[in-house]
Amino acid sequence: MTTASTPVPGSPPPAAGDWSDLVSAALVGTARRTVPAPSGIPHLDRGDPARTLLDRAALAAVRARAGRLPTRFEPDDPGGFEPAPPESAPLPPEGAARRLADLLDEDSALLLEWLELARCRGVRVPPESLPALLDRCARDTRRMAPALLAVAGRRGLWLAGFDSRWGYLRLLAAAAELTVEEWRSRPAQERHALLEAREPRLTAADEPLLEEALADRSARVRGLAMGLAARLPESRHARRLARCAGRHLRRGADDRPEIRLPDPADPELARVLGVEPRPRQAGGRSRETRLQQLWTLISHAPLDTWRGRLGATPADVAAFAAATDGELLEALANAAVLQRDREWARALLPIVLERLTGGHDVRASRGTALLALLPPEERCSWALERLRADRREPTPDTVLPVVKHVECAWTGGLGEQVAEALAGAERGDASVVQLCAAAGPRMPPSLHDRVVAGVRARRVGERGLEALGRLADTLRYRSRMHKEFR
Amino acid sequence: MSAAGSRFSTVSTRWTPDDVWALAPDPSSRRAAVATAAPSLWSAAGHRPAGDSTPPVVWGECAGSGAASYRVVAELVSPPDCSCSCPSRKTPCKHALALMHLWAEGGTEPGEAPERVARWLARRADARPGPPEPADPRAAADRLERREERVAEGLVELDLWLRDQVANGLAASRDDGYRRLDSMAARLVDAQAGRLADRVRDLSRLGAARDRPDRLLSEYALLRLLISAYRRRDDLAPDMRATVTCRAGLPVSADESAPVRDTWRVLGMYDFPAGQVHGRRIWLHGTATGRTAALVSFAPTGQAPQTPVRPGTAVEADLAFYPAERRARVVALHAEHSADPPAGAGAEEALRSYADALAEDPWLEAWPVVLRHAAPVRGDPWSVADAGGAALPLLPECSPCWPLAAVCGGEPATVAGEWTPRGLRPLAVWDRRARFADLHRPRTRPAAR
Repeated sequence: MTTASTPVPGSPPPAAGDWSDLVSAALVGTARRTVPAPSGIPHLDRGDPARTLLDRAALAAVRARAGRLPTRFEPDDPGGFEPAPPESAPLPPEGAARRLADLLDEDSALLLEWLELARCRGVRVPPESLPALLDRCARDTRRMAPALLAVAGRRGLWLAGFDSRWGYLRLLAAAAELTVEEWRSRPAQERHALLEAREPRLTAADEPLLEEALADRSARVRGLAMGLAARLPESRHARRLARCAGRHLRRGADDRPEIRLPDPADPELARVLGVEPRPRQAGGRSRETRLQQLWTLISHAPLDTWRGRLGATPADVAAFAAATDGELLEALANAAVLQRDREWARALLPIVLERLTGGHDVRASRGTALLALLPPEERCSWALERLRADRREPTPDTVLPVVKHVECAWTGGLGEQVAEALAGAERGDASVVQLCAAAGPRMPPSLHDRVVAGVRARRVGERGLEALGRLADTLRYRSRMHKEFR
Repeated sequence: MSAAGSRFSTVSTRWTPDDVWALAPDPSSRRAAVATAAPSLWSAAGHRPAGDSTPPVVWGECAGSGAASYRVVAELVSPPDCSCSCPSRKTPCKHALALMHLWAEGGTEPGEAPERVARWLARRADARPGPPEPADPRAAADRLERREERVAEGLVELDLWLRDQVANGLAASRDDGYRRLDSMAARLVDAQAGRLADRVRDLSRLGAARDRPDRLLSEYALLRLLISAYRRRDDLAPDMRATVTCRAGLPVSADESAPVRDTWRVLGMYDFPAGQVHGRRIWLHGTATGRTAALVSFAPTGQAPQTPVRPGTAVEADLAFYPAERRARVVALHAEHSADPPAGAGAEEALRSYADALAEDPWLEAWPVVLRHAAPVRGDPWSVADAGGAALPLLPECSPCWPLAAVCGGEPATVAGEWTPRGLRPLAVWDRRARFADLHRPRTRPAAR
């Protein structure tokens, strides 16, 4: 029953041919096939062919299992793994590591917070969780991948090299070093992913790559490049855009926007928008389409084009747009979001949100996206200011419309305000439920006790009470998650 | 059953909130318990700390959705004994889980048990089976004999059925194979050979697998071998007889008279389906005795199987062994330590130990192996190679095993797993720096390439 001394490559079970003879006979049936007599095992005969076959098969099967030999692995086998580069960052405490595994098992929305905590503490993801984490973040690379990159460690990058589905992480890491030639040699899908991965760290040095991408064969790549090029106001493309946009919009003598509708046959316009010029007489060149092209142009043209042209400062420009043309205001807001321009976002934000709370459609507005351009602390103090400006006692109804746009970790001050509003809540379940949902992942977990006090007070209805309980649980869960990193 | 004191000694001191959540029978009851663990929902929550010979007890009342409140009490042995006045059929229910969680977080007041709790404890003490029952040994022997006869009848039927399958050809049974397998399994259930019924029913899961004919013939042949052995059971050596009756599904119990004390390394854990319930086996290796032990527990759907020890640790424990299959149960748990990687062996030695085990139990389905200086190798399927280049292929369903690759990072490691007739199931790994990682948690894996 012991193994032979020299294992055979591929290691077939002993007498593989004899075994397959038995299987063939069993498949056809002993009524039509004689029972094979495998070599090396006793030729039992039970009088009944089926039973004889089964007993011989039992001997052969157990012999094959007991005599199984290892396969051979040669050092140059392409399936082997090259050693990963050494790690420098430490692993998180055991509790935090277990928590990560739980978050992944449950596909929890709190995963991003765990990654951020890990980044702040300078620890890396335990290797056994990397595959599941890489899978999870592949579903939402825009939001998750930058956080992942910071904590995946060298092991994470090493691992990502073995499966194309994890390629996004390496793209993100490698995006800074890639040359135009290397980029050109990739398939369209990768070119798009690469460009997207480069987005968070775009600098003037990326201009050659963007020029290349603006003339890409793939329309999808061109579209992405357009948005990115707008973020480099000094680039040649941005200057072309500014020139072109300036020809179509200015402040008229009557202090109204003076618009010249774009001409679809204009070769320069086509060039800056990355579309084919169209002959004038072709159908479908409605005013609507041409207006649409104008808004596209404005969204992509560097915002500073309008400084001095529509108003002296960004705030003046925003006020002018708000006073005269709602669509222009939206286009400018769009431009600020697209170009990630903080200064313009600050100028546009109060006006865009003023209109929002004035009954405009929330979902269509760029308010939340503008706010997201500001650093978290600024977002929170902006919200606090607005809450203070409201003279009414804070209640879920008054607080919710403001804080729901603050999609980041709340500062203690803002959290306090929300906790106070929840503590004072009476009835009005709808706002309580929504406010609790918004507060769950954002409120400082230290405010847990305040929320529990709200549950105890039992002043809201059944659904509100449930929501408060859920919020208390989320805060406690997060508080534990934070503590586990210590 | 042993004295309560020895059952919880180390358990009570190391409960963390995670240990409590690990008791949740399924993710949904865990989520429900998380919501129920809000201290605001609880009143009169208290606990009696562990005494010299008594485990901790925790109690409380939880506000329900209506006016009613549920009364919960739990005795913190492993696994905990819980009682709750709610209608849930899950064990532990969300209220019990939430209460234990409050306790683990220090959210209950120490104190004397209120009267209703004391009454419950007293009732349980009465209900607990006392010292060996002075039951009529003759009647018990008769009962066992009757059951052995019924199983024998079931096996005669199974033998005829197997004969027909092979006489008519396995290919012929392909189309209505599931139905036939299921009806045969049902007849085995009637014959009180439930374990064999599960084994037969499992074959219907083979579907159209490429190696279906191979596996069907191996299984049928081994069933036939079991039938022949059962028929001759009274002529077999005692150990082999125990193996055969055990495999046929007759009840066995652990020998509590001579527990084996050792420092047991906990190699790994695996959850498997077993008919209507699910099972969990945890492999242990005794450092002094060299014995292999499998802690096997079953739980109906909706309940968590017992997990008295944690993979990657070493425990000082007394184990009572069952008469077959290396199965054991923990009689007393004295201490738990973190542990160095087990010594392990090369791939050839691992297979040799499997062959030896097979000689004692040809029906053996899984055998623990620990590979030293081992590294994963990609292929179809993946394998794990030792320093000399001898490799064990992974089970097709365990390949690719990315968490293993991620932990090893291209460096050799110590890999623990189960060797099965179809390949290796990796369960745990100690990396080059002796850090332990459990591979058992079901994780998403990238699609096979």
